[in-house]
Amino acid sequence: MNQRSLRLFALAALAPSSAFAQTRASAEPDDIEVPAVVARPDAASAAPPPDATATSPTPPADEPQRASTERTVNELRAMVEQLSSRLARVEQQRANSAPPPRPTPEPPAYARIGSSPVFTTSARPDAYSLLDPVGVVLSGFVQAQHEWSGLSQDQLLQGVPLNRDRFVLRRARVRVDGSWQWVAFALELDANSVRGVSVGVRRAEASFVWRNPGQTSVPWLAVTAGVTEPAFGAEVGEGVRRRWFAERSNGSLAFFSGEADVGVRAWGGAGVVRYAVSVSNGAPLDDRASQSGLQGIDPTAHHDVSGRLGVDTADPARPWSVQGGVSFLFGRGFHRGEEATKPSIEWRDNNQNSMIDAGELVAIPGRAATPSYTFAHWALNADLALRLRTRAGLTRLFAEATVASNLDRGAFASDPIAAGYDLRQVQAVAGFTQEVTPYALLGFRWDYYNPNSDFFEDRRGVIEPRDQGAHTLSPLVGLSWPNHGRLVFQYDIVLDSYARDARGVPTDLSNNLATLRVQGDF
Amino acid sequence: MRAPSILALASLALCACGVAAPLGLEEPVRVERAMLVPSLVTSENSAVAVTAFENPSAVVAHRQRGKLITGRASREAFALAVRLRAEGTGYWVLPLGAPDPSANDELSFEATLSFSPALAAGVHTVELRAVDRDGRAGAASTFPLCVLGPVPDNLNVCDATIAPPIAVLSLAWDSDVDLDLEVELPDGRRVSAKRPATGSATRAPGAAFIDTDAGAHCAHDGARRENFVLDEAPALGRYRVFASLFDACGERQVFARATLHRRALGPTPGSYAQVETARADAQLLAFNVGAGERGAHLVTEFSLP
Repeated sequence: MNQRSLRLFALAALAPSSAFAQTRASAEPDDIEVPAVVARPDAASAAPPPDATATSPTPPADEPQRASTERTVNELRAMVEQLSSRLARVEQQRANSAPPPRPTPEPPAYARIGSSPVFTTSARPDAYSLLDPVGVVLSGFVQAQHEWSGLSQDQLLQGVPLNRDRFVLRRARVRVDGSWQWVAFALELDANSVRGVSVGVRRAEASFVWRNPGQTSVPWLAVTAGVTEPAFGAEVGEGVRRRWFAERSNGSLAFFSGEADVGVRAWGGAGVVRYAVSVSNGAPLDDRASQSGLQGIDPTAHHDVSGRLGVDTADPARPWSVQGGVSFLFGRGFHRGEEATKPSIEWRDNNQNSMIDAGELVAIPGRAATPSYTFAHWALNADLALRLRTRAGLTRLFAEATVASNLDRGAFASDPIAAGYDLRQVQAVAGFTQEVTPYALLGFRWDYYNPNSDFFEDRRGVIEPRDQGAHTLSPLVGLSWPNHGRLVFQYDIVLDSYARDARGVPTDLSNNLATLRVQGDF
Repeated sequence: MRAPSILALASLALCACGVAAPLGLEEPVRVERAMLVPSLVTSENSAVAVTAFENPSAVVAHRQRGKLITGRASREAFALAVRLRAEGTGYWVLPLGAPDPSANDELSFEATLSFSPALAAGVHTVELRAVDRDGRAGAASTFPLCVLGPVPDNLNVCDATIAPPIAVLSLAWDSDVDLDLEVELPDGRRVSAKRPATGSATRAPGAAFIDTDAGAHCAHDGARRENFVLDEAPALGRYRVFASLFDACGERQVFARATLHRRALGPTPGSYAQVETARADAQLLAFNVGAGERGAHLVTEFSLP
């Protein structure tokens, strides 16, 4: 407004011709600059400037000159009004046709740290700390939480505590990244107290990278070997540091008890296309402490092959983007054989008198070992995510679904050799997160997992299907100190058929779960 | 009308819905593969009922597991509910099994019961009910069950007219170790895990014996108790009671308690009772292992009569 007032004042003071002003308006409608000095094509322009006129005494008897001055003032007044209206119109047009604000320029693909150019942002977009001058990125985070579960009991079941109302260190991780023109590496260690304190390798990978000069975040081709993520779906590859929900969906946890596996992965992209193919042991490394003897050890020579083909339209110039893809996995699972047993004697208290009577001692002969077997497992997956940045913040909608066979390795451990038939799994998850300013977030997730779509049980002598599927509804609210910390509360409403009612019919089990998590980043 | 409905749905979704599935270890009895239901609507006039059941033994040992009750329920029934009458916090409910073609297609059941160590010794009443499709339980079928205590009493707790042993010295401990009870008789002989009885047969009339070798070779049976039983006509004099730690089984220490139980007259003529008359505690450390008879820890002593 001040600039506009000054310009009008200059117009009045310098008294440009209306003809000249109209010519300029028609030739350059967006240009509102006015020359500071203009020529005077007619006699009227010979009059002194208005301010000078105002300050100079006018001869009282010069009536024609007074009339001429008034006419000139009237003309100038009309011209000022015309220019004012034109200026307002031009500014309105400019406001309407203004281009969107230029996005914040993307940070440089790499920065010179020490003596080496390190691809900091492309290697670790969520890293905030640089270890200078070593030339690597050091980052880490801590997730500590308190849980409340409807399943909690102050009892032991086969030596395992059933208490679920407790403080837990879910993840404490330190990660080091290095990324140069052709080579990159990452090492990430994890500590947690989920099943007792355990420390392990979450990621240890080395990569050959053929970079795409025009797209710094995704190379043409990268070949990564070591402890890395299998190429399957979206959830497995979603960073636990940036994910707002406490854990992956139940189905994803059943297929991949941990996000990492030992293997090799080729990945990259061109334009909006993304691809990844991996070959791994097929024995995911669970970051929680082991509850079985074979966790993380591949008992078969067969490897899992997985891949994903997708698109990612992320562009800083656009407020929206779409990510999606389809994935596959195939490999072989393992049915454990039995060791040979020695002969033994078993007492069966048939008459239940707590004494050994005739016929109650049974000889159990030694049994030969049985071989282990492998079986085929496979999965198909589709995922889709939409991101939209508005004044309120980032909105993210996501959905993912998987159909699989004999792939449950974390929840119900598919074993078609023991079951006598292939076990089919169905998994689906959908939800959204909505930032409310950079400091708060709302979210909701629906998650469904059925470990065996063909499960039956015998009730009253009738073989009836029993739904083993479970729906989980997970609303969450969170507070964030960007890049430094989070406080998240998530409530999981689990709807299943794992309990029985008074008729012995399966019904919903009281196993809802609440999680209050605090996260600190560096 | 719409707002209350939405509120009701929201509260329904957010409440801690579902049926709890406690292990029920605090219950006096547990039933395998069954759910603990806090309450049942019962109807003595219901059409469903337990039509037959079989209980092989009316006596169960202390902390017994795997007692099998079999039977049948009417064809309209859906489930079987089991509890000890007036004890515990609810019914154990398990689905009924296949129809029995030899019994008019009535539905069969098998209930496997385990009894809590906290269950008082004595006679209890087991209650069986059939449950219909609406969750209502029919008339109760009951039978008595005598639960023994951890100290041998010749079934005196089931029938008070049966006399318990003259005396029982019971040694119990708190850790999974191989601890042996040893008793020095008035004549200087020792009864121990190596020589568990004074006579040729362990439970011969008039013999004094140790009933078991609990935790032998660290094969733990959960009992953690050995009893020295003096039945009829025991030797009179002073008895000295020792605890010998044969194998600590990885434990650092064990606390043991010896209790003496004597025969007494019951409240009614011709009845008997078993009462605790003395107790003593001891603590043994892992380095006491292998001391043998000479290193056994003297816990207490008592005299007869």
